[in-house]
Amino acid sequence: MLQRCAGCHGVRWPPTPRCARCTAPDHEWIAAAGRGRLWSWIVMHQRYFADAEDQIPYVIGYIELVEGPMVMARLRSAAGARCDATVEFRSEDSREAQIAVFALADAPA
Amino acid sequence: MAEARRRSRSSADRGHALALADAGIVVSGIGSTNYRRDYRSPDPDRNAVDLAADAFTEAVSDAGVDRASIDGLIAVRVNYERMSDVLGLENLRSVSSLEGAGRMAGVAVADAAAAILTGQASTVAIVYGNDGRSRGERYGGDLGPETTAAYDAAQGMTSPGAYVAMMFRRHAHEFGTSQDALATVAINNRRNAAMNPVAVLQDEFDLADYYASRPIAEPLRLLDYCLINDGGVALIVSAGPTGRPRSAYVRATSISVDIGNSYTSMDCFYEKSQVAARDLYASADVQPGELDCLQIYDNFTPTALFTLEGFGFCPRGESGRWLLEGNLGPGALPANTSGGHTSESYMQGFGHLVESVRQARGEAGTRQVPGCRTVGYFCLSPIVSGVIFEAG
Repeated sequence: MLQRCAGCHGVRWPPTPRCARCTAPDHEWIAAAGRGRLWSWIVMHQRYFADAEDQIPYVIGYIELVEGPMVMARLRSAAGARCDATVEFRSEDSREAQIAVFALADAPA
Repeated sequence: MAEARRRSRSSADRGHALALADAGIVVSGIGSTNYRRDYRSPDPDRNAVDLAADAFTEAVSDAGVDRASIDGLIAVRVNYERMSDVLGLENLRSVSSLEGAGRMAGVAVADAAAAILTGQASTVAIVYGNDGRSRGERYGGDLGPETTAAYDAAQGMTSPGAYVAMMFRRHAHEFGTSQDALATVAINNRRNAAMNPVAVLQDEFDLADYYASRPIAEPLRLLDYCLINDGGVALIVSAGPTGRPRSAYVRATSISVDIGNSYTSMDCFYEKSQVAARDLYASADVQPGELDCLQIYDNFTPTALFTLEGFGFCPRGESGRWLLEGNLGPGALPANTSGGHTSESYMQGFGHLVESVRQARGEAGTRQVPGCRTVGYFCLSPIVSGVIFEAG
């Protein structure tokens, strides 16, 4: 779910009390389409979080959602990844409920 | 009155920067701890305050000033109240406290110069202490202040190195930048560190070694990363020279802020660096090609590439090719002459400021850039800053 500003209709992420573009506090929530463009990605090999250690190496993508905002999210795999590829939301990791996992749009489901 | 009007008119021409050619502001004293010794034999009884105090003592001696004459204090990463007490500073008329982040080194110099220029102080001590290694600092895993930090962390995304790695991969996609160019920066730094008796790492390596180093946030590897080590640095900034035959004058400073909701800058800090660069060079009345030596903030090697573009040493997108053509280093444009963050010490820019002063003074010994008169310090980060030093 993304915030859309009631003042300037800008869509933003992450949720904030006010719109940084026009300062209006009022907003509505919209459902994200779950699609975006892969701006870049990295493969994390370093243990910074104890509860992510058994997932190393894992892939983080920086994704431009079709609604506009940029978000960091896991990529299911770096295989075939390329900048500007279309990516789609696939699942939330059941162990860590907040992890959003994307995959390349042309990757098998 | 006429003098003040003339100064304000010229500052309007030069944008948002400090033009200090007429001001005569000098870094009169420098001090820093023995990074190599402390890395090999850490002293558990010396913390960041002690390290900063050691550096301060050296800087005051180097400046040849009386400690009682210090009327300005800028404490970075260490608490200003504690430092003021420990250092016995009893005559302060100007005090400020800056967070322990690399973006603050340029800010500290600008603030010290501004305090002196406006008559709020005449002798400003900048003190910095870092016991991160002893404390197990990893520069990742903790929540930063960025708006996206908590959400990113939930995905397992953390540490500035990973954010810079994101930018580098994008830069390579947009401009065809070869990762070999990152290696040239790391190799340059290590070669210089080999001539520096206090550098933490001195063993030179080659391209094959670079690619063999373990990946951290791929595509970046261990040899792309700054050190984590303990140390202290201090500078004394004075309203005029204090008697040495050649002084390092602060000729200009300029700052431009590139803060979004994430550390990752979509244009690798380019637009904001160009703003700071334009005003910096106009204020210093110097072109980038006229600088004798560069000290580039290198938290990670890609930051050096982005700096070369942002501050006008090569066209946008061309830093990789520029480096691979051999444009950085002795005989070309010397940079990070004491080893930089990746080989000398990670003092969040303050070590670079010290080396800038040494080079401008002609006191860098075997590392001295021949005929060095002007040195540029540049930091690309959410607070972009540049400082031009000139010998006089």
